[in-house]
Amino acid sequence: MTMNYILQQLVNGLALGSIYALLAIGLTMVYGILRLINFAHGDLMMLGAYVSSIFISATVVPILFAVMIPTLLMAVMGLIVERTAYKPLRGAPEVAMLITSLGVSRLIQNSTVLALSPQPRAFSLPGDLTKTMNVGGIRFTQLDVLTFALVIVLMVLLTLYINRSKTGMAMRASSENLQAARLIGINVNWAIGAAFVLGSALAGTAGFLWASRYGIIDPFMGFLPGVKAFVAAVIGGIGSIRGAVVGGVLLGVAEIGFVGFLPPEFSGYRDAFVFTLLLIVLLVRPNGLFGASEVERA
Amino acid sequence: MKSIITRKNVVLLGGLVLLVILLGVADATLNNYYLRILQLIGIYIVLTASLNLTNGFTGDFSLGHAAFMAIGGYTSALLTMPLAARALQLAELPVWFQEFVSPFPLATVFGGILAAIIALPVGLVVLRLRGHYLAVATLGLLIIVKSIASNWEPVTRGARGLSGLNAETNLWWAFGWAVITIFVVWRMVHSPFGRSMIAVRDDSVAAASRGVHVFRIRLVAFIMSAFFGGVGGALLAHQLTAITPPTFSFDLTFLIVIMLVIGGSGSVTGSVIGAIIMTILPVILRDLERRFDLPGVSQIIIAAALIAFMIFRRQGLMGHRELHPSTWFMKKPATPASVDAPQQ
Amino acid sequence: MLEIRNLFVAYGKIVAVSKLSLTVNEGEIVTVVGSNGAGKTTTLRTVSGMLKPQSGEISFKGRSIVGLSPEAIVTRGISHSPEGRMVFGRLTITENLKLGAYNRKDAAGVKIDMERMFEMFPVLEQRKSQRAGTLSGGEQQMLAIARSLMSRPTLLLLDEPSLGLAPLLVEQIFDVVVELRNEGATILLVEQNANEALRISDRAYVLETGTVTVEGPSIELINNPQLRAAYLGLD
Repeated sequence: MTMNYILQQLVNGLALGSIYALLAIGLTMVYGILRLINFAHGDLMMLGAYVSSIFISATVVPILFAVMIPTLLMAVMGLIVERTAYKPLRGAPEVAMLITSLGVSRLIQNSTVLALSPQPRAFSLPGDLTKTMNVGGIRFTQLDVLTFALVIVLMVLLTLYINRSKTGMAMRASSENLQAARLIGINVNWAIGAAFVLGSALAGTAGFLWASRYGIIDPFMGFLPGVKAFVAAVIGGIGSIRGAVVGGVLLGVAEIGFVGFLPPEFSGYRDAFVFTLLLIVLLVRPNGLFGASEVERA
Repeated sequence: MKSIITRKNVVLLGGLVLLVILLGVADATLNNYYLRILQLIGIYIVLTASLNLTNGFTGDFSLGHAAFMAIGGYTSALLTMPLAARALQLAELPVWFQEFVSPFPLATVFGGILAAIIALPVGLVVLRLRGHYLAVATLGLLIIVKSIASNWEPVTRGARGLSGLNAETNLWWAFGWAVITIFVVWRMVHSPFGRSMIAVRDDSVAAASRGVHVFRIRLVAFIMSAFFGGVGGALLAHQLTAITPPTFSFDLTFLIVIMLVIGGSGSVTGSVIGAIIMTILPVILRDLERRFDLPGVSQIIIAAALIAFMIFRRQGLMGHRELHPSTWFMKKPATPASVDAPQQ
Repeated sequence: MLEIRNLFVAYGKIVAVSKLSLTVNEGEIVTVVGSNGAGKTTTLRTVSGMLKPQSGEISFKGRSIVGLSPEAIVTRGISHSPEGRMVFGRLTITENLKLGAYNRKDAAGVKIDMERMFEMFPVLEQRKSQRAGTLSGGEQQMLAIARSLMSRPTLLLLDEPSLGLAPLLVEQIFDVVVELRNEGATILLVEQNANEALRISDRAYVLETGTVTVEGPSIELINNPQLRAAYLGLD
């Protein structure tokens, strides 16, 4: 096993991990405030991928549109989902919200089946994006570079927004103590809406990146990545954006490492590996790497 | 000593006899298509009533029921597989196993027992979690079990699955097990143990302070639920006669959760009602879907109905209530009969 | 200024407050005393819109506020400093104060008030860019009060401000309350430390199982021998 091979795996792991990170941010923001596992989050990624595919196949439009349009549309979609399905359940037991989000997930998947087709379709990037570059023996595609650049820029912007803006402050306060936030006059529905808009936008971006990486899209592609991204958020410490990013990257690297460094007969167990990891983290360090304990939040 | 011949028992016995007669008539008159739907109702009653033990009564929301079904399904399939199919499919297994064919009833029970045995260590781990984390952990269990089913070639044949099973599941087995499940669940719930389960669900801290062994209660409920999950899996496998990893998909878990939620988690009769409705409704909807060529519509309607239920009638049709047998038997005679009156 | 008439609040089937009537006039400090579970906190939470009453009327400056959202009630001029302080531990002190003024549009005024808070609570200024979670209990209580004041309330609801604090800090907190009143604030104070609370307040209500059993000027309640024994832990 050469150093190059190891570095190569690391690049691949970071690329997958960046996508998990983008998804995990939305999940962690929403869970932080509402205590809701949004199972439909991955399905917004899927919708984003489909929207993106329209612009990918239209060669006259710059590739930028294939990233921006799904991002913006999913922001709107996230808000619609929140307001129609989740808002009526404020104050309901968490299980009711969980079941609802499973229902929303199904609704989105099957609406896509109805509107388009259950069949997978190809998602092929323009040639120059998939061209490989060789830097010191490690192969990169332009897509890898674009992925890293996009993820870093989005995270910096998001962090600035959460840390500096008034809404960001309200979101952090709501996440820490929803009761107190309401009591001092924060419109928590606004904060919740903001969390859905921002998180869903990132899921839209992730849709483009995921589809570009795997080259194929189908109506059910989003569910498992969404759940895995939740695993990433738990590993990082649910409620913490930094935790979501670190957890996402770690999970991506671990998953690729599992496939890349163990004998090939194990690679079928990669999903099992991810959830075993989750169980270990939940039992050993239930608050994750950066999570505040529930006591501290109270 | 109270006499065995109470009014309640007479009603129950009458209901059972009626059920047997109705099943006999159905068996003699209906064609295969309808018989299979009826069998499915029985199987889903087993699955929903057993999932109710955890999700409804102790409040441990599990998404892993299909994992236990898979264990029961594969185990029983391996045990009953006819010799000819065995020689083709299980050549890599030891010789003694290739020559050992177990009768279906035994294989069903064994499938349930193995699911229960596996539920013990799994429960010791995942039941340290509650709420959302438990839901995701049990979903993880399902994914892990499916990974094993997809990759353990010598035993499960991976993606090809096991096929050539005899179609052993008939109305009698499906409803026999449904009656047993309802009976056991009902007895559990209406016992001191059941009151402890409900106390754990409503306020585990208070229950613990009153001396209830919270963890043990939850673990027993989890294991019992897994047993009947395994039995249900075995029944399903021997209805389909062929199983692959996708047979025990998340969709299946989700369907059972929907049955439970719509019937009313926390109500045994609710589970029965939920299972009946949610077996028949998808069949009708899928039929319409095919007729009008609108793929996905049945799932869309079911998902939308589920969301509407969560918003407008969170407790499901029954909530925590039970149907009283006298009205029960008058209105829905085709359902299993071990449902007695709500106590107290 | 605040008029509560025949208030009835229940959590599911458990009645927390029934037939409760209470008045707070402008410029007063009114104390509510009573044992645990008597309905004190429930009353405050109902006034601030966190709970919806089953029946009864709450009016503020002559207008009903029943059914308004908590943020609308804050905007009307009622600010609630909750039991257990509930400062945002992972946010800085400055951020906590800014959030207290969340619904205000006058940036300049907010800035002036922030300075005022720092004058009133110098310890907060020294540590203004630290996380509130690093403050001591007494400091957190000061932050909680300061945060409530940042919305420029005309009525301040204070729930158990002295709870869990050392005697010296309790003194300080009560000094702050008196200072606020001297500046013209109106305060509805819920306290376990009835003795101290009665000393600084104008009028008082005694709550028992969700309803008012005794009311009157604080000075009379302090001198009422029965009450002294039953509620004030004095003899």
